Amino acid sequence: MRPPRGTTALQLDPLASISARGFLVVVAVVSMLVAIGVTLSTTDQISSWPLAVAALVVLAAGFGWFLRSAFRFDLGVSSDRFATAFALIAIATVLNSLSCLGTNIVVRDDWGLITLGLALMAAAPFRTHTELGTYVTVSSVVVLILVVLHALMSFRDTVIPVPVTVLVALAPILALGLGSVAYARSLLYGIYAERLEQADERDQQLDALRQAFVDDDVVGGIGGLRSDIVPFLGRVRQSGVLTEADRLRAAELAEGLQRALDTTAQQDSLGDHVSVLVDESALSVRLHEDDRATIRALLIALESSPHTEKGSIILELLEGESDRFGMVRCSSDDVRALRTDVLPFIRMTRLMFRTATEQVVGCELLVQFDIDRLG
Amino acid sequence: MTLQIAADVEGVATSRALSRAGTWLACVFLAATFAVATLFIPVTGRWDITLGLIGLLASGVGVVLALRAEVYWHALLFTLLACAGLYFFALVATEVSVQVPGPTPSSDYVLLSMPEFAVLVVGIPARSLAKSLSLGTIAFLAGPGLVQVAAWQQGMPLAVDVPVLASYVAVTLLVCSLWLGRREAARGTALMAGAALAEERDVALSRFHDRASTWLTENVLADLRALATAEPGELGLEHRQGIDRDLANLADVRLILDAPGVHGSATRKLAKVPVLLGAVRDGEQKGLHIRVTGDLSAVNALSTTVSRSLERALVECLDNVVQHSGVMEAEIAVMSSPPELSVMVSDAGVGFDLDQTTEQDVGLRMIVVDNIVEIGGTVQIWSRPGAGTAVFVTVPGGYS
Repeated sequence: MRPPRGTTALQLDPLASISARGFLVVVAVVSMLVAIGVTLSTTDQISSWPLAVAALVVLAAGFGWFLRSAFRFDLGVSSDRFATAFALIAIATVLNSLSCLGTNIVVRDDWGLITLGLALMAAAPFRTHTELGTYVTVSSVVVLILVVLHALMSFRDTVIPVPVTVLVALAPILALGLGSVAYARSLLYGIYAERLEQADERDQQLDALRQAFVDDDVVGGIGGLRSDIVPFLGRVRQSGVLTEADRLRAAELAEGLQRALDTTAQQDSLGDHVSVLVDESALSVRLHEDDRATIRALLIALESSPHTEKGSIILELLEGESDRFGMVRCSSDDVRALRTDVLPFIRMTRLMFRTATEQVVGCELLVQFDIDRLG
Repeated sequence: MTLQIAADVEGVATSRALSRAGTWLACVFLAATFAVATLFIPVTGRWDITLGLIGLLASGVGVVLALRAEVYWHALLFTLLACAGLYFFALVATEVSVQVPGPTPSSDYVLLSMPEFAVLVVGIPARSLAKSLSLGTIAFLAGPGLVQVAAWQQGMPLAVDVPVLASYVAVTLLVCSLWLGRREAARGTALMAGAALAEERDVALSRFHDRASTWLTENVLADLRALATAEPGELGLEHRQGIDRDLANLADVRLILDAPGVHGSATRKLAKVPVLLGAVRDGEQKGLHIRVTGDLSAVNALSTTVSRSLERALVECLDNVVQHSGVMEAEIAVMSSPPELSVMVSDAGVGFDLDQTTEQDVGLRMIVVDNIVEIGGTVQIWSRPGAGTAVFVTVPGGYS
């Protein structure tokens, strides 16, 4: 089954944004270094310094915008945001090319051809392969126009045939661009296949749990159903007559069953991960399962961080007349390091709860969230 | 999100994606080199360039196989094959370049650089950072390294190929950043997956337990209490039927667990339909209990624009249920009748009289209706006071 149209890999797997952002940072740094390095090493080919400097500034702005979008918690690198970043990087490519118009010796010295391709490569996890395909086409057309312009203005005396120059100029953008399209498509299909597999696994787990519940005879174990109640009911039904002693026995068994039902209320395992659970309204067991899993993941992350002070994790779930909210507290000697450790899970909390904030108060990390829904 | 999260915990999908990306990247560079070298055959009149092209093809085959290899030493062998092919191509290309009249290029010229770029990517899909870096380094030493040897053998002026060297450094940095990020993400996803599974277990057991308790209270406990208060004597029909039902269900408790509501949140079944997931999650966050039925997979076939408009419309409809219906239950039914797809959002709330309500009062923001109409769809509303409301949205596209 193919994934829904317009879906990006990061929409299916938000935690992969951690590696995608790291990759983008390196691409941005490499691109800037390549642009500055090539500009400085080919000064003899520059005919317009204002354009050369403007190209570097616009390139920095393009990657700056791209990075800013990638690190935003809300929208991320949306289609519009990437379009803006791409436009700025493409403009930088054009400015770089124009800055050596008439004095360009070889097309491979134009850094724009590389940075444009690198930007597409970095965009692969953030955008769809269809979008990237369009950007590759646009980039190829831009490069083609620039090469033809240089063939007319700069390479008139060269012995290299124009088709060769065109091929050399197009190769990086096509290689990196088509590589990014293949990456985005393959990653999306791979993650989607994994999602389907996980959905099947969950169904299987539910069936297995149901079978285990039946096999363990949990129902039969409540209130001595199997040992007392079933034989009693069987005997009364067989005889077809209710005696005074049966009435008393029925009352006794009813009382015992009621007691058993009251005491066998399901225990909440969320409390296993904290030192103190404050939950006077029994909100924990009423939370939506997705919200509970998010809180559980945050608590496990806090538990497993080496910077967490032992026995300091506190979960408070509070219910007022019109609102419900939760608070996770955790102490540490190095609370900043603790925050860094659990940051991906704080981000998940922000994704799951409509409002979620985190702050460092003294030596304590505090994550607070509103609870809008119940299970 | 969490229970629906798909995570590439093992890095298999990422590795395969990198392999595909590397294949395209290498093939484009090799194809460009192939095309340029072929163009030089009639220009130089040297048909022995064809032999060099065979070396180039061997190099391409080696790179592609190395990128797809699942065993490290296979990838290493294919990398060496790619480098040998490149060396053979470089021998021919440099010999021709030295022999033809005109200025002789140095060993960093573009015809040699492009296939060198192709060889450098062989390590990127490896499943560990060490393997990835070692393959990349071997490719760098044996690829561009042997090209320099070939150039020296043919008497071509030697020069450090700065773009190739810079590319090697860049690929190394990118692989490192990707791996470090992936390690962090894998830790997160593994933790998240563990938490989700624990949650699943808790929720399932809790539901089974609740269902069993409810059934016991409503049936066995009620019947025992009825017997305790009944007059002694022959059992009445009602008592006999009650005891028969209790004994039958206690003999096979699976019947008790198969009741509706035991299978959890509506978002669970939407794992395969992310377009509906957002709208349903939004509704659930507002406290709604939502039942989703119909040909859900058909929604996946909608175009991006139609999907977005539909999602907005559904969010708006569910918001209306929360605000105006007076109930907190809603149903979304998907019906596919190609070339159209219809989605009905209904509730059993207070409803309203459509004839006495202006378009603005309906609550469904006109911008949403306009949006659906703009993409070629329709919106119909049925409602009667006391009989609930149904909004029927039809959009183009979808398949079953």
